[in-house]
Amino acid sequence: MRSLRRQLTTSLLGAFGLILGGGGLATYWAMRDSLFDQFDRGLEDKARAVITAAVPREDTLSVYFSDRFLRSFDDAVATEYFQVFDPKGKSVQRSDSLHNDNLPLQFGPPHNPEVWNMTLPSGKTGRAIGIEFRVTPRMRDERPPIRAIVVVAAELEPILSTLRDLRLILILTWLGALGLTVLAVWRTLVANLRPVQAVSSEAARIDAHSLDQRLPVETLPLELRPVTAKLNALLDRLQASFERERRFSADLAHELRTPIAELRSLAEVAIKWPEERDPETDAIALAIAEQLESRVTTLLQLARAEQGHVSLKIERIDLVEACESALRPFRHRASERALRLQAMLPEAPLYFETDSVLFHAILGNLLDNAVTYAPADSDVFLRLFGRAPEGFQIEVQNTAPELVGISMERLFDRFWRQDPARTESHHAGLGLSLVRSYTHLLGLTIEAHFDSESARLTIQLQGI
Amino acid sequence: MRALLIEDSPRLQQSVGAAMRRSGFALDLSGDGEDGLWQAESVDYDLIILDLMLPKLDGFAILRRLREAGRETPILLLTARDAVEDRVRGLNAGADDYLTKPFALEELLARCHALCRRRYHRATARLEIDNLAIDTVAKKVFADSTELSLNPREYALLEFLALRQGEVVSRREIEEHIYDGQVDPLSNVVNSSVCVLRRILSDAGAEPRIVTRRGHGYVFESAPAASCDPSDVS
Repeated sequence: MRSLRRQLTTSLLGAFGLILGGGGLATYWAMRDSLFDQFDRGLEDKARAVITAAVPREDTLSVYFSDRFLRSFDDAVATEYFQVFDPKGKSVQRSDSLHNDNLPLQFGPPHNPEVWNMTLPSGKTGRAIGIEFRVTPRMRDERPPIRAIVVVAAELEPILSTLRDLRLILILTWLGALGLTVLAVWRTLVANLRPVQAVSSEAARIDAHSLDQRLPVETLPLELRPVTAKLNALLDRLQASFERERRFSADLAHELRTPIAELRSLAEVAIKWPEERDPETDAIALAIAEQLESRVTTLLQLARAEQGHVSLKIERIDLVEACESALRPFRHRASERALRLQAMLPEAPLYFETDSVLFHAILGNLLDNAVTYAPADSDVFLRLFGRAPEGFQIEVQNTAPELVGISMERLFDRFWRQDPARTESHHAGLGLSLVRSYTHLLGLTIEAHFDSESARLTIQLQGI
Repeated sequence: MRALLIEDSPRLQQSVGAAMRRSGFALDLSGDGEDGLWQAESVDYDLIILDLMLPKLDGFAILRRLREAGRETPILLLTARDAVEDRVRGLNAGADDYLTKPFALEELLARCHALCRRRYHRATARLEIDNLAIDTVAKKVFADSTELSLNPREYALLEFLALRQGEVVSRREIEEHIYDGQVDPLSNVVNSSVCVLRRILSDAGAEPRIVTRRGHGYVFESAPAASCDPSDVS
């Protein structure tokens, strides 16, 4: 399970840990070297001081110090020691601090003295330097230079203590930095992810009854806004879809219930007042029954088509002939409404493989729509042309001024009618939905285009 | 009782219209929302039957506008939308009753009468004043257990006056509530109807009287009244 928090923390800890750790170590070592260098130089300086203070006396040397000089060699302070040896290793002089002890006899030439760590006579840790030197007698003497060795030792404790402190500080800093990093990461993440928590609990509350709610975007960090915006867009689509289902249910209720209510009231009135019976009653009842029948039939067809329960019989049909036979029943109605029904069909047959019955149903519904809704004394066109290599395009076009401003998507919704009161009772608004279902079943495509200037609606049916 | 039916299906207008008129309502019809609203605003109906899915202006809008204008006319919603949320929405929007299509005619008529009764603050269907008993469901009138013979117009007038007993009812109010369409303001139809009703009541020995209040209208009360005066002008 990938956790943003854990990953960020781990990588930051790792990076910082390494950088700070490396830096800390480097700092420590540099400091240590520097301190020891300084110490050694100090030791060397003291050794040279002793050498400078050494005076030849007969065969040997004496070291004379002034009172103020190198108090640390005093008995009381006893932090430093020196001892001078003759070349045979015999102690010539030693500091008061040494009492009767001896320093180890190790040495090196002046340009490369020997320096080593040792345990001082006091028991503490120390560091010593040993230098072999010569003292040249005064010019009066013709004696050869006297050789000797000086060993100076001093406590390392101050340095060690400094180094200990430094180590502590560096470690604490390192730990502190890492701790702060973790804290900072967590707090930043928590602060930034809290709105995400809020958004997700908002989302959890949205259900089918509250689809109008949207997730808040402003409280989220920039990186998360696009996702939330997309989610909101999804909710928009979902809500629209639910709305359409709800509208469908409401429209369905109206389309079926109104004729039934009409039939019922008609019968009840006739029963309650038999002596005042309207002679038209039976004719009206029949008309209602027929209307209901056609509506229910169409609905069933639609239901079946949408669930794919229609069995197709694919055969080769001549589209020119199909168009001509589809047009025939509408010529009479068209002339009644003074519509000019014009067909533009190719001369030669145009063959296509499809289900003949469904195809006729599609054409029939399209023409029915056009002829019903075109205003009187206008033109209705049916055009057919082939599209290479083996396809076709059919266009049914009519004037439809009431469609100005209507989105073409809605045209194919079940029960959609431009008149929201659904007053005109012959068309339930199912025709185009059926057409759409059938075109899907046959693998064709259908599109509606509306030109607002000329108020012409063109429905294009294409097959490849 | 005068009612308005706003319904766009012509067949339902016909059936329901016939049924309501034969049940004693003076009924006006409207086939679209705009016209329906205009009618509802111009006349003080005792009852409005309102379909929700109407052309030009839908039922909810009409309902809202009437209630916002302060109209308290009882409104019965008649619609194919039967989901609980539709019913709740309708009732919350100010409707007094809700009936879904298809409906039983008897039920529609009964609910209409119930709403009208409520309007006049009557709990039961039976009005009793002195020795006169009016059964508003059966549309029968009895004086000392003898049934009176009244035509629907006469019955409607008597019922209306009896419901408003003790209150002065103006001639205009009677015109509005008993007659449908527009009554010619110069006609004497209300006066003559009242006169005829008075005669029927006195012939049957009914004790309550219709009293003329000059310049105001008529009052139905249980006290001896002045005689019929054809030259009454309100």
